Amino acid sequence: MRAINVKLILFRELRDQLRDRRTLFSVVVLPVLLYPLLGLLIMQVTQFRQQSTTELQIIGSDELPEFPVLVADNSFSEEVLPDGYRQDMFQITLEPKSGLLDDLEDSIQQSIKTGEFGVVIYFPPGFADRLKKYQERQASSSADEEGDVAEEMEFPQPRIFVNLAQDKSQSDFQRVKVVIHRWREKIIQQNLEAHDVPKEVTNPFVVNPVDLAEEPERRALLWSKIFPFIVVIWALTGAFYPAIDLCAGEKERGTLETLLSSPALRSEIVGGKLLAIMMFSIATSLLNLASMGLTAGLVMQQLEAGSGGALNIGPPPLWSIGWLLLALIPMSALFSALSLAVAALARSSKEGQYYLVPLLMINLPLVVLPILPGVTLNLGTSIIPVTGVLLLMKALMEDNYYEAMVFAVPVMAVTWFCIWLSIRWAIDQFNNESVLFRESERFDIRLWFSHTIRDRGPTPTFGAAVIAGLMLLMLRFFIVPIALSKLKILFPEGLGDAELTVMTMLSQFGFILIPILVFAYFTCRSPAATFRLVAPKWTTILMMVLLAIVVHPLSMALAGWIKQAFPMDSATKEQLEGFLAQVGDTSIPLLILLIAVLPAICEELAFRGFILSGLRHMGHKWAAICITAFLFGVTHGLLQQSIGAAILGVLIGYIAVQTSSIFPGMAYHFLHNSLMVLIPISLVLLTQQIDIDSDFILFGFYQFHVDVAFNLNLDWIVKVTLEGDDAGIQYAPWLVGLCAVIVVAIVVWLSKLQGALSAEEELQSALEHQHQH
Amino acid sequence: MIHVRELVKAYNDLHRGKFVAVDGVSLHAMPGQIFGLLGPNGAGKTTVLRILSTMLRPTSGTVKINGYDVLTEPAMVRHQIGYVSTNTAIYDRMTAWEMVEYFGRLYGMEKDQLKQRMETIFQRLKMQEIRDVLGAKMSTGMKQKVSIARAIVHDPPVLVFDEPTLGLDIFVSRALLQIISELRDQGKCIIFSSHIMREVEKLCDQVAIMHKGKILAEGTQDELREQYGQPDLEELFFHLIGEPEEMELG
Repeated sequence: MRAINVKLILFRELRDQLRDRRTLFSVVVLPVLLYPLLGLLIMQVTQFRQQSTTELQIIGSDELPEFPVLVADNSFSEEVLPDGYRQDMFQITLEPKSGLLDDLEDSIQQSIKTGEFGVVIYFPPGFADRLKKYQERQASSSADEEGDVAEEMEFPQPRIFVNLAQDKSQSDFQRVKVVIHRWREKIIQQNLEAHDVPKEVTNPFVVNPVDLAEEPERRALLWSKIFPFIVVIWALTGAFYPAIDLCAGEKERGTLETLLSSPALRSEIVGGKLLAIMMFSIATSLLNLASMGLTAGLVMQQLEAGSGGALNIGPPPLWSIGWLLLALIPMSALFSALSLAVAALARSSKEGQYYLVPLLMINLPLVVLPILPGVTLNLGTSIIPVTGVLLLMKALMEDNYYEAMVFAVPVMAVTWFCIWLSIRWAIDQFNNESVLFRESERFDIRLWFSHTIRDRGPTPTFGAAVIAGLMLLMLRFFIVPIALSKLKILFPEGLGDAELTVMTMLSQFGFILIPILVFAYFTCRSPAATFRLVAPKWTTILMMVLLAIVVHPLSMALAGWIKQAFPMDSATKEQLEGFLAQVGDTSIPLLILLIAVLPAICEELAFRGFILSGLRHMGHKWAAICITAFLFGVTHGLLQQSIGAAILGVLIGYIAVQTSSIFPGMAYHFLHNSLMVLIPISLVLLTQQIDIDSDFILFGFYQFHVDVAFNLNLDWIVKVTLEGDDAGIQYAPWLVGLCAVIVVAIVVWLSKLQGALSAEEELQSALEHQHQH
Repeated sequence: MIHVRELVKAYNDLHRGKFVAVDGVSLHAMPGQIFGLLGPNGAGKTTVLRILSTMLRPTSGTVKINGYDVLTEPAMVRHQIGYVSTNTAIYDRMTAWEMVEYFGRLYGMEKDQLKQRMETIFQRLKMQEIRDVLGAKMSTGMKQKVSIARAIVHDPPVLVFDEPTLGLDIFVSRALLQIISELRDQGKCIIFSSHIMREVEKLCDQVAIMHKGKILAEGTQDELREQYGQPDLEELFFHLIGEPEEMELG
């Protein structure tokens, strides 16, 4: 890739976009105008609300007490109006005579419904008299007459009628409520004074919150919550529209073929376009952020009087803008690369538009997750794309630098990996002639099906492999649970000792091997090529035995690390213990058959056979290995198991590719799983002091009969803990290190083998090397 | 210069299944020659030329341009050729000068050398008055001139013209054919496709008649007339592929 070409393409695309009025409008004009306009609108509406007059009716105004005065000059009296309220805000229509509520209710309902009044206040007949009597009674009463007082209180109460389904009525009610509340307080004060009780009695102390956060910190937190939405909406749309114009638009206008006929490499074209899209994405987000921040600040200043300064949305403090920018760059890069790849897929701008919503939908949960309360930055969340970056930014804004430093490495690694994948995908689209020159063809599922079967090649296509992978995942996560529940209905008491055997056979044969064999029958012609049924050299098998032995301490260490990094919740633990209890009742040969022999055959044929063969049509060996390993990991279900399985999957995938045969991987898989059972048992027999001819229970679940015991001291190699939280096997660090060195040596040996490349991989490597001579 | 051996291009198509667009085509074109590819629509001419210019990859067979293989050294091949086709439009939001300059730079030319070369080309193709006109505002003829300027800016030894006169009026067509024959006189190796007999007859030194993905006849015009005993290219053409009413429409 030559920087000069990338720069040329970048500048051309930028100039091209800047000459396009539509782009300028959506990137610059829209945000700069939109928010101030919105702000103006909000201010107008609020002012209108503040200035509008509340029209209300008071029925039975004759019943009001003389003091404190509620009504004066067809409005509330100055005396009861709180700060910021004026008399001209209310227009009161008085109905002096009161009556029975049942008689009046219809007319009240009518007057509110028609909008004549927003609020109607009803005072029952004799209200003032009763109030007065009550006050007099209070003044002369003694403590033992309290019961009577309570009784006296049960006179008809005033009512306020509103229609909360009407905006006007609702806002009128909010105003009237405040005034009535103040009037009521005045009456209470009056009562207390009549008793010679100081009014402070009603309010002995005040609880005022003391906020330790400083003003800028509060604003930073607020912005860290608003920011994700701005990022996903503006960085993504800001990337998407230029991307469509630069790919689908170029196809439509016929200029793509012109560009492709230039000596610029596809990677240079993608690089230049990507940088241009990224700049628009960043510019769009920044302009939106700035415009929104300034508008919010201005609007809030204007409305400060009304809200008492509680709604402070000023611009983010300077130091946090730095973190915002830092988070914006990887986000924009990721969204730009994704948009570019998706836009390259589209035949026309119109088709491209359809892809925006799915892209937004995929990203939305990732953006919402970090805002949910209780979701914090840890190893688990840091490896989720997008979410990790947003959580990292939040941590930085909240000054949790230590936490941020710890997880910055996984967050950045995952983010850059995703960006790299998206870029690779985009470059592949630009290398794929069926994407570049595809013409609209009516899709017909029947034709497609017959075509797939009629024109199938020796090995499955990339698409067939992806479908097979998804099929296995569907079976694992949807069909297996249904099958299990049906099995429980058929055998309510369980299958007893046979349960583990039946379940394993069912899942290995029924849900992995048989579906794959059926699928392979329809989608490929050569089972030998697809499943790599090639006899390996005996030296290779010996190497696999050695590899399995030296990997064992490493995988034990890895398992320990996973257990610490991703602690299991109690439900998962219970589920696992149920499974382990079954394992504990199985004899060793049967156990080896179930957890080592069957998976080595079924899983290897499915994953390293069918799926890997299909995925290798992509032209990228490592991508094929990694995707296969990912699928292999996910089918293991539990997160803790999946991570280990995915890493194991990468290793076996590499073995399969380098040796061009399925059997070394099978041998390795079989040994790897067998050692997981055999080594712990052997170590217990070797190191622990146990009675011969007894039944021993290992790690709380595995029961076996002891025939021999050695009681050797092997502490310098391995520590076996039988009970407690850290029950398990811990190898000495020097041994783990030594094994790691041997594993690396074997991998180097593997890399020297000349594994057969697929036609696409050969072409890809030729293309990548064309500039080296 | 251009060596094509046993070139095959097959597509997988839902309706037709495996569809062979180019079926075992071999041809050789030399410098200072115009090689004409004559055939009806759908004969596979564009597919062959797209493979020559590395837009498409061959299914089998070899194609070498100036010694470079289209499959394994596509970027080097693109340095050797200038490609003009009905599908290579010019940018709407770029002026003629900017467009040619952009491609000159992509071909790795130095600024000074590029400027000199562009002045010469703009003069020779009489493009001075459209120098600062945006692509969107140009007529079809002007656009085609810009395309040619773009294709020859790096002075490539090989030029590929895929139906370059399509949609042009007779004045512009005539001027364009004149330019192409001048390029031949400068020693370029030119491959030229068309379905218009007169153009091919007038311009091409070597002719191949293509139909349904296969080359039916190849040679100089004299050789072909002699070999098949036909008075001109048109008679020869119909003699080879059958009369129009026998042909499928479309």
